[in-house]
Amino acid sequence: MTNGIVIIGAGSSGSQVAVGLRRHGYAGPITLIGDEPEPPYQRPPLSKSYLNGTVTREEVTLWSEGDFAVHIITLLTSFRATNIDRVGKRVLLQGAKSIGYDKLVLATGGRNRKLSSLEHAAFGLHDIRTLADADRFRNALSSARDLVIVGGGFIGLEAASIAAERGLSVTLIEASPRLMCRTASQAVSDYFLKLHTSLGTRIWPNTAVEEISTTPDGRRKVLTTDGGTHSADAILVSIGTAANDEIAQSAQIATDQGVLIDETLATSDQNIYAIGDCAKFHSPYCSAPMRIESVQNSNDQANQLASAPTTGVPARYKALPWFWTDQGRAKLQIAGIVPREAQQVIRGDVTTGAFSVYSIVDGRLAAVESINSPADHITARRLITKGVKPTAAQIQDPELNLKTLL
Amino acid sequence: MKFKVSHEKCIGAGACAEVAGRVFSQNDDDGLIIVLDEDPPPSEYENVRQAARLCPALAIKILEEDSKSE
Repeated sequence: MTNGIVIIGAGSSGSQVAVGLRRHGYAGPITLIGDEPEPPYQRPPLSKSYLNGTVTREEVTLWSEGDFAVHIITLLTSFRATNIDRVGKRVLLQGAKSIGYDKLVLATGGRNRKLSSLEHAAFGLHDIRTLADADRFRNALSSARDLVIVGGGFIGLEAASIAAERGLSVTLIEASPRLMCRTASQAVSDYFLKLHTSLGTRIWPNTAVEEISTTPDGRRKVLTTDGGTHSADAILVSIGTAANDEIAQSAQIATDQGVLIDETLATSDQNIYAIGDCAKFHSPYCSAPMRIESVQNSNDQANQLASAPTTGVPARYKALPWFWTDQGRAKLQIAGIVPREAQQVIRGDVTTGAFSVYSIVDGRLAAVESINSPADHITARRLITKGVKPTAAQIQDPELNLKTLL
Repeated sequence: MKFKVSHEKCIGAGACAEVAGRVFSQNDDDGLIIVLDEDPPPSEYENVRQAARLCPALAIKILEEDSKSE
């Protein structure tokens, strides 16, 4: 008798593998283990439409208990996998239970980094990763006047735009010199700095939290490294994530701030795969191995893995990474990974709020960031995937449809 | 069944066209959602529901479930 496939992590990638396996005709047992109480849901809306209240909890649900019953998938919620016995091929669960596997998928995701040396609990600091986090923060927003956000990446900035549009006074502290420093080019950072400033948000780059204290009236006071003090009713910490790779580490599977996987998504144990936010790999579109935290990566890796047992041929993962964020009136879509050093060419007019930044490395198009320009984005995905080498003059020519270069 | 789609929210992920290809497609120029069938037959209802759930931008909103659906 076969033990089938066990998936640790019931987020978007884990659940997508489970359902995808059935779609591809896999008939063996499938067990999906999640440590949250809810069935799988979408995380991107938690700092966007779910936070501003335009979508409901039901609408962010990916799959219901009923869906798993229909597909004959065993879903274990509120269960934590504690260890892997690779020799006996069993996953140990809290409470001394264990489940045997033929193939194991690690889809354990990531967790939010906390401010070091500060007690999140003591000051009621907020972060957004789970539905429970988002509910708690949404609740705090409804009564807060002054919000301090620590970290100017996608999540912090999405939250800042929602809070500012609601009339809150928002202060954002960013440790690096510019916003979205790891994911966006200077030109895009500059554009978003202006946009958020125009919404009333005060942004402090090159600044970190020195100390947080409680004032006699029960509010918080944030002291920053530049000597500033900021009063707050609520504080959101959005300073990136760390991979949940401890279970792999303790089973002596190779990790390096993420579970290391090869092109077939296999870990150092060929019966164990890792996908989604927890997995670190060398994408053909990146200069070094990295974790790619996105819906695109989660879905594409899950879909590739789901088709593997039925096709029998291990495919090589080479999907182009893409990302998006909604902030105020701007939708930013990024194709590829924006390199640190690149020649940058702008198409369109920055002042109109619809333009794209093309990053070129050694003549090759490496990444394109598009603001309110979905056509540029879709074409960019194809240009980058095909390895097209557009010249700066071609990119800047408004009369030239870049699609014709494909 | 009644639903509406939002081009403002749409990010061209393509999940809708993948699970409900008879009802949704993507514009070749900008990747944005195209509705092929505004009043799909009951056999497509489950696919439309799935498209709405899987869309990472939640750009498809089901306004009215239909009694004809099973």
